[in-house]
Amino acid sequence: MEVGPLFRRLVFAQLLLGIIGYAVAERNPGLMMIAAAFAALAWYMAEGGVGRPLPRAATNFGVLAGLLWLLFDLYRQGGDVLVAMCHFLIWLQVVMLASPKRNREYGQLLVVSLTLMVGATMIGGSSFLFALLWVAYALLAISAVLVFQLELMRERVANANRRAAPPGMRVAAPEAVFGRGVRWQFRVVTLATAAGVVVVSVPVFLFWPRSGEGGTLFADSRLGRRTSGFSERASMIGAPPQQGNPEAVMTLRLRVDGEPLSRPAERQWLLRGAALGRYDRRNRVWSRLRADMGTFDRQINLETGLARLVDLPDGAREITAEVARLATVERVLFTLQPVTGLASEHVSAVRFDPDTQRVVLPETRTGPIVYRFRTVLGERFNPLPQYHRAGRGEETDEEPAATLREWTVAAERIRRRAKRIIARAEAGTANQVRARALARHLREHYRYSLRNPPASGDTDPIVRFLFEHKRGHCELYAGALAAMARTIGIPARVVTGYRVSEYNDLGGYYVVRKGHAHAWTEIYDPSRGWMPVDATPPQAVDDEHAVARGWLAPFRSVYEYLEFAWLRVFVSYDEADQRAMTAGARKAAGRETSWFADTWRAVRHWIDELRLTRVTIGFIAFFGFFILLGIASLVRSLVVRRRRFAMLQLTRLPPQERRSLARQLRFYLTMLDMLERHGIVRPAWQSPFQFAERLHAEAPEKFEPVLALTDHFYEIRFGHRRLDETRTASVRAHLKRLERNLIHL
Amino acid sequence: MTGEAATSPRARIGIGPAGPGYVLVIGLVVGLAVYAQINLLFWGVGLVLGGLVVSAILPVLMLSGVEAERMAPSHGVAGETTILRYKLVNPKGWLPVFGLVIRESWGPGRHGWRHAGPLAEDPPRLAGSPHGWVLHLGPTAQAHADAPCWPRRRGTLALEKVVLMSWFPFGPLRREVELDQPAHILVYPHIFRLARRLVVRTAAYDPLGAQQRERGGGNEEFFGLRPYRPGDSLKLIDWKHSARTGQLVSREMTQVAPPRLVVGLDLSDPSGEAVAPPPRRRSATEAETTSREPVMGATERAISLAASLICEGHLAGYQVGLVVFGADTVYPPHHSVAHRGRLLEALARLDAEEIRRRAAAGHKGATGVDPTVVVRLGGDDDTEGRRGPAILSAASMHKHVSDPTGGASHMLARRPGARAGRATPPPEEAA
Repeated sequence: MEVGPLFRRLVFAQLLLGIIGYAVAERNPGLMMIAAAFAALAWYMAEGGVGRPLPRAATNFGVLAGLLWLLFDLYRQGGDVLVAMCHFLIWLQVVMLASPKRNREYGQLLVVSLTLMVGATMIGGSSFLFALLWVAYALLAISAVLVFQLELMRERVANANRRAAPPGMRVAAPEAVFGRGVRWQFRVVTLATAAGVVVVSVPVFLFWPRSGEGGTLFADSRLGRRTSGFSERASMIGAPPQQGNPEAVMTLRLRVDGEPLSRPAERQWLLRGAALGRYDRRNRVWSRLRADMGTFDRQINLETGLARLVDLPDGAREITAEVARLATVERVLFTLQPVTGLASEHVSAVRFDPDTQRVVLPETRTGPIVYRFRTVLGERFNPLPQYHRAGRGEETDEEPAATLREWTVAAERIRRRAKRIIARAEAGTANQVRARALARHLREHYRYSLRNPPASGDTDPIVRFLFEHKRGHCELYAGALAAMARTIGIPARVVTGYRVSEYNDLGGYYVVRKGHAHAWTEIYDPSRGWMPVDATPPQAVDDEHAVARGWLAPFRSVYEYLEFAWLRVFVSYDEADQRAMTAGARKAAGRETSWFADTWRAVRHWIDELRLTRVTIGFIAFFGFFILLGIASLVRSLVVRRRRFAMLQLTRLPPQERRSLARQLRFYLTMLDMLERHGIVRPAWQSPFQFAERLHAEAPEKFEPVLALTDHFYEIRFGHRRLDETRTASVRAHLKRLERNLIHL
Repeated sequence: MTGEAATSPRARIGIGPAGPGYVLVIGLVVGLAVYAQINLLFWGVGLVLGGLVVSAILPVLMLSGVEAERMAPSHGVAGETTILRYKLVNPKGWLPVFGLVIRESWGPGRHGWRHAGPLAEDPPRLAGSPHGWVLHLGPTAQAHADAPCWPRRRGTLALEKVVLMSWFPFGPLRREVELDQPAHILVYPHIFRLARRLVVRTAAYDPLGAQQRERGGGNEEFFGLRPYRPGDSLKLIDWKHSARTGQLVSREMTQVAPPRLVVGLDLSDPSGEAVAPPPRRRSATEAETTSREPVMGATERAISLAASLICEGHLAGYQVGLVVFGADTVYPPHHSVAHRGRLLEALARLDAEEIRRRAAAGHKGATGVDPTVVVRLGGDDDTEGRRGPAILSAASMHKHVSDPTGGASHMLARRPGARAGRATPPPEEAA
């Protein structure tokens, strides 16, 4: 076992993995490719066929260049120190890889790599892919450190002996003393060490005290400003910013009375984030009313569990929705309308605006959040009076602000068009019916397109959309509907959020992607309050939101399931979860129940969550049994093969030669089996020659074939002879003779 | 080597060489995890703490039951490499041992070597504790490890304890197991290669130039007659005498007698200690490298010169003998490896102070063998030996060394202000 080369290879793999991990955390594939290529080149220069490391002067120059780069990076990143430092550490590793190294330099490399990985964890600690790389890195680091310890021990012993030696005497490093099976035993010990480390790490992770204010560290950093595709502004010019972006940002799990919804894949949901009541005709942007800016926001405490916002009307069916949001900087918590209750173990309080029904966090939080809200299915009722009662102390059914009825851009022309549409549709006087007629008209007579026509002159984009181009994206549809509604006196506003329709069968939830960002309209009906009306053609939006199918689709589905499971279970684990776990444990200890029963119930629950049919379970059990059987037989064959190699004294040979000789020397094992059946076993300490000699001395006639077969064994094993036809015939004859002798003599 | 039965092992656990670094890593990860509140970092905290726990458990399990037996040589030579070999047995059938370090230790406790043993002597008998290393010791396997040591002066090197230690896998904690295994190694004096001319000049030859011994048993010249013994060559039968006496009579011939080198060691003149050898010019590097080594006094030089003469004479095929004036040490000349060993052993055990005391009391010591060369503490050399045996002075020993720059020759020079070197602690102590 060569400790040095093995250690150097492990260090290189660890460094490379660290660099890749950082690039994944920073989401910078360019950096990953360049840095990995440089690292490989540096490794090849120092350790590869050329084997000529950079001179010390070049190394120092490289470090100096790295420092300059660090200063430039700090300037470029605008004070993002961590990112700049990580870039510097990557460069430092590359330079050190190419420089001459001894154990001390390798130790420094390991520390630098570890520091880079810690930095990467702080930047991208919630990414599932990064977490996979992190685990691989940790395992590799354990292996590298183990080998490094052996190398360090050798160096320390050599140094101690050098110090004790007379001056001028050259003392060589001690030779590595190792026995048979060192390689696989080292692997087993490494795995056992890793397992021990992980076992200890689990309770530390579970019970280490948290402050409950996680994820706020990089809110202001460039990397922390990760968006979700959602915007609190709706621009009428240009293309939607996140069109076609398949990056998942949220999951939405819906339940009615504790049961999953029926036919969830056929349903669509409008997950609202912000209501935009003001249209800036100069910038052509919908934005929030000034009056909405937190004036009437109400602080809702979630520490005591579910915060009920509205008393439900009789017979109303409530939906419980659970949203798991990945790390973004948005403060908005997305909800369905109307919100009747809020709960979260990760957030102690939220702010709620009754007028816009907007739920926001009190401060920016970049970490992942899991929260629940309740809404009403099917039944529509006006929750505004109750919202106002809770917020202002009295139940008022006041009308929306007059601003929400105003429209000034080509108002007369739009009004005429709206009235004509309503008249043609015979929609009557109810706001809701009239708005739906307008929306239907837009869906039927306008074409959905992500390419917005270029702005020209002073003509407003909404006017151009309504009267000229008649094509555009969802924001134009929403803006046009709001404009038409307002011109005929219906309070209306544009709402931004997500249109959710992609259902993940494996996880039992809807996936929300950046590309699912959407805009629609809300109109006010005195009897039912604010109601969503989506004028965008649904088929066109569905086509745009559809995730590309193909052979990768199932893998992506599984990956996303794992990512959100990771998010819910690991990343969002915090002080509240700790309290819940402790309370659960106390509760379990209080009642007469066993850990096994609870675990079994949890497993059953998990299986139920997957909603597997009996047939599926049967198939899984059937194939699982055969897979386990295959694994067991594979392990057994490996063990048997290993034992055979040991019996044939082949363990130290290269694999290819070992396999070839094992095939040729099978006859010797046959002979041993034959002898073993008759109670004659070769002790492990006895060489084949000694064994044959002993048997021959005991009964020369009987064991003469053993001597001959042993000769053949030595010829082939050590004499570089082949098992040709002549020898094969001889071996067969001797085996037959031995069998006969064992029976008859 | 003399040994005693081993007592039960003592085990202890302490801070490993990577301990401070590991604590720093724990501090870094814990600090960042608490600051950033990122769960992956909290898991990292768990992993580094897990590494600490495994580092405390695994070496204990690995070293439990491991047996070590020192196989020290019977003798060594001052300034030369002496290999201490250890037989290590791992009786456990399930757990191998990785990264096992073996070292010698003395005195009670972990730092006992500072107060007892050859490292604590003045001047130290060893410059550092011998260390050996075994990468892997499989389950139920046996291995041998070597630990080299370099005794610095003649005499008895007492070994006391064998320490097995390991800081595998991560290094923050170290497990040590101490095994009492007292033993002694007799260290011969420093032996230098001398100019061959010196040995030729100081050895005794037959005045006639015939290197023959006046004793039968050889095949050179006629020595005498004796009754025939079965096995005698027919050519040696004196047929005339046999016919005359009626019994077979054989001629006995003289045998070859190699030159004799009998070294007389005269340590009785205490003033010789004060004789300083001429200074030798050395480079700065050499001076730096030799600063750790003590410079030999005149007595040790004389003993070393005697030992070197004996070894050179033996190598040249001479019969070598030894007479120590004032002591009862008299070894007639003889040529065999065992005889050379006996002479060196006598020199190794020589107590110069005792000899001087006895000389002062008028004790003459044993006689009976005339030395061909006398080694004195001071005075002038007389390698011709016209008025008797040749005289060699310890003070001028450096003149006779064939390679004045190699081996332990630096110990023959006295440096201004030189002082005895300090013992090198074990590496973990230095760390």
